[in-house]
Amino acid sequence: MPLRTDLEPKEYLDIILRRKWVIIFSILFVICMSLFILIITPVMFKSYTTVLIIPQRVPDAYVRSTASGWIEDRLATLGPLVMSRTRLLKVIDEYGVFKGKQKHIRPPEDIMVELMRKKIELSVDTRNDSFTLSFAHQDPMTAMLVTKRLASFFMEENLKMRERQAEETSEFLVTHMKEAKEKSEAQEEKLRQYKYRYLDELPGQADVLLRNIKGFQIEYKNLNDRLRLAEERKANLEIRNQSLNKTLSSILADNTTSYTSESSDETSDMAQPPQTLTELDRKQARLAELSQKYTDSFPEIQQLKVEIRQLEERLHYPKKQDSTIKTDNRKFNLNRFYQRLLAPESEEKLFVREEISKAEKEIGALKKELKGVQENINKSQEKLSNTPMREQEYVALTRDFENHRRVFEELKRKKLDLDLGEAIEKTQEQARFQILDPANLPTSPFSPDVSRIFKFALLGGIALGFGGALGLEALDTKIRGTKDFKYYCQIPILAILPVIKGREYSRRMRMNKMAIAGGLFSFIIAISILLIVYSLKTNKISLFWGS
Amino acid sequence: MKFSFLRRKKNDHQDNPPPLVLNAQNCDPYLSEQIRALRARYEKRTEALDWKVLAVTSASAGEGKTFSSANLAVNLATDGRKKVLLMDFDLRNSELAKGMGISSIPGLSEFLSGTVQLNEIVRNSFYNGLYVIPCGAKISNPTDLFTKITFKTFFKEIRNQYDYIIVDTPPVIPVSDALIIREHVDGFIFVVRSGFANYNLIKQAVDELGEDRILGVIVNGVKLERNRFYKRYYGKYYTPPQKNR
Repeated sequence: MPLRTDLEPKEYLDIILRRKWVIIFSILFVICMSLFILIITPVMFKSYTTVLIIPQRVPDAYVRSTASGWIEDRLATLGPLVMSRTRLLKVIDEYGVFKGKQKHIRPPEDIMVELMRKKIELSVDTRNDSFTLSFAHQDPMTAMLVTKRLASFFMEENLKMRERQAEETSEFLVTHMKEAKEKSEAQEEKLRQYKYRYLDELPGQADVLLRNIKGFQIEYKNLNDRLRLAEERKANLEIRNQSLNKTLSSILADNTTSYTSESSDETSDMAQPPQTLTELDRKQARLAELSQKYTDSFPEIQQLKVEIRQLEERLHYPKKQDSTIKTDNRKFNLNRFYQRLLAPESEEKLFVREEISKAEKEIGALKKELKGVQENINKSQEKLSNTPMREQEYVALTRDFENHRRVFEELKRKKLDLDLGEAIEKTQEQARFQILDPANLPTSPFSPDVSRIFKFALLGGIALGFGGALGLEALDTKIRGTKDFKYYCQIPILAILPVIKGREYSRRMRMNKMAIAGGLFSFIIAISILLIVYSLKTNKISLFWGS
Repeated sequence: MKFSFLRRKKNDHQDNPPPLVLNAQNCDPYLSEQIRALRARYEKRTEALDWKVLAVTSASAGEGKTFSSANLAVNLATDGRKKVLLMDFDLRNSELAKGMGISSIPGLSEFLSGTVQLNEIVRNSFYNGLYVIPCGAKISNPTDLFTKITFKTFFKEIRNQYDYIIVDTPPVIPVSDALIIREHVDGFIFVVRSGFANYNLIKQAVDELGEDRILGVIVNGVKLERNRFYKRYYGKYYTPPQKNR
């Protein structure tokens, strides 16, 4: 039957008073149990030592510490090294940490190491840059010695770790510095070759190229003008040449008959000069015509020039002609006839032809020059168009070079710092461990914590008692008093009869009291016995230690 | 309650008041006041309901039925105006005869068996106006007697002879005797002992009897020492009783 919801505080008090013995016996029971636990729990002593980390004397601003990381990081690294299986087994064997009464029985090593690790505590005080190491053992002397030994392990490992770290860092830096230097030099060479190869196309050359192009364009224009003039002049000369040829032809035609009558056997030869001249005129006319349309490299023009030259030589250079044609006096005389006849016009024609030849040469040279200039213009324009791309490539190469260089410089600087740090390490100016409080010899046990156990026992007993009382009350289905009855039944109450304290009631009360007294007595005896045993246990330890 | 009745004289009429009944001179004044209050409420309610025959019962044994029925009957009779019959219907295990200072034989069981007449079992008591019918010889299974015609006519016979008839019955839950006389009585008075009676049994008993058949409840065994009201009114006005050992 659950408790009524309208219980008054007085009724709660009544419940507590009614169940007071439940509460009292619960407390007594829990106290007995706690005493029992105190007796069976082995007494442990804990020794403490505090280690201070002295920072380096030379400020970090001048010389950076060779070993990185602060106390937590350092302990996180040192802790596993000190708590390694090998070291702990060494300590266990050295100090007989797990030597029990049965000395011939040795627990397994894994279990010993695990137990040992559980007994070691490490707490860090970041505010004071120190840490506290403690070890618990049933024997206070063993606790102190082991704590001392573990602290020395920390100090040894710290020194070794620092040296190792500095060495490794130095090796690392040297290796990477070498790599960085090689890369930097390779990049520098690449940059130099690039500059050499694309000097004209580098950034900053664009203006120069533009000026060159402009110059070449002006030059091109000038040459083009000159070419045009030369061509005009040549055309004029050729026209003059044609007219001269016509004149010569007419003169020849007029004078050919008179000569042929004088020498009939020269008829066959007579035909030559007029044919040669005619042919020469024809060819010159044809050349002039083609020159208007085509350049000098035109095959027909070149052929015509050769033929014209040969014809001229036959006409004007008897020597040459004599060298090629059989020497014949008549022919020689004929030639000289025609030469005298055509002398004035021939002289002009020769001049004209020479001028034409000069003009042609000039035209050829100008064209050649124009071609060269055009090529220069094209090259310069091509270079100019390549300038943005070259600029990007150049920037990339320069950036890579600077990066490699920067890395190299940084590593070089770090190496210098490291060398300086190592030098100072040797003079012990760096941060090191120092024992602040040496391991103490514990005089009183830390476990079990008697006051804490009793506090918890009392609280637990009270909680159990009150909880039990309320629980029993809730489980109790008896009606107690008129309020209970009225709450659960709606039948009118005719009378409320009090307890009649007669003989039976008194007897029952006596029996209850005797039972309670018996229970109390039993608990008191039990507690007394347990207290005596506990006292003997603690006294025994202190007596032993005192001896 | 156990009483050492063995040393008492077995006769109908006693010189000393019966031990079951409260002695007004040396009992708890609050208790005697409550008995008087019980009588007053009883009279009022039975008059209103026109009930004459009431059975005093409880859910389980040892709750104070016999004590309550005896003292109620005595209080009703001592008024002098009424004729009261107190009947012991607990044929299995009753202490009413001893408590009232009379011999239990012959009693109801003999009458229902047919061995004696009615007038032989009605006894005078120490109190004028109060008549007692003891249970007679104890019977382990009196159910057979209840089926006889004698039993059925018995209540009709006695109803008209008395002003109040109080029937002390066995508890409801262990035995069915109280339920058997349900149809023969007008109602019930239910006795509940504080700190003793089980709520579930009480509920079951009330359900079996029928709540409308219950005149009221006597709550017995209530501890009043810590009651401020009691101390203020009764402690002040009444001297504490002398302890009788």
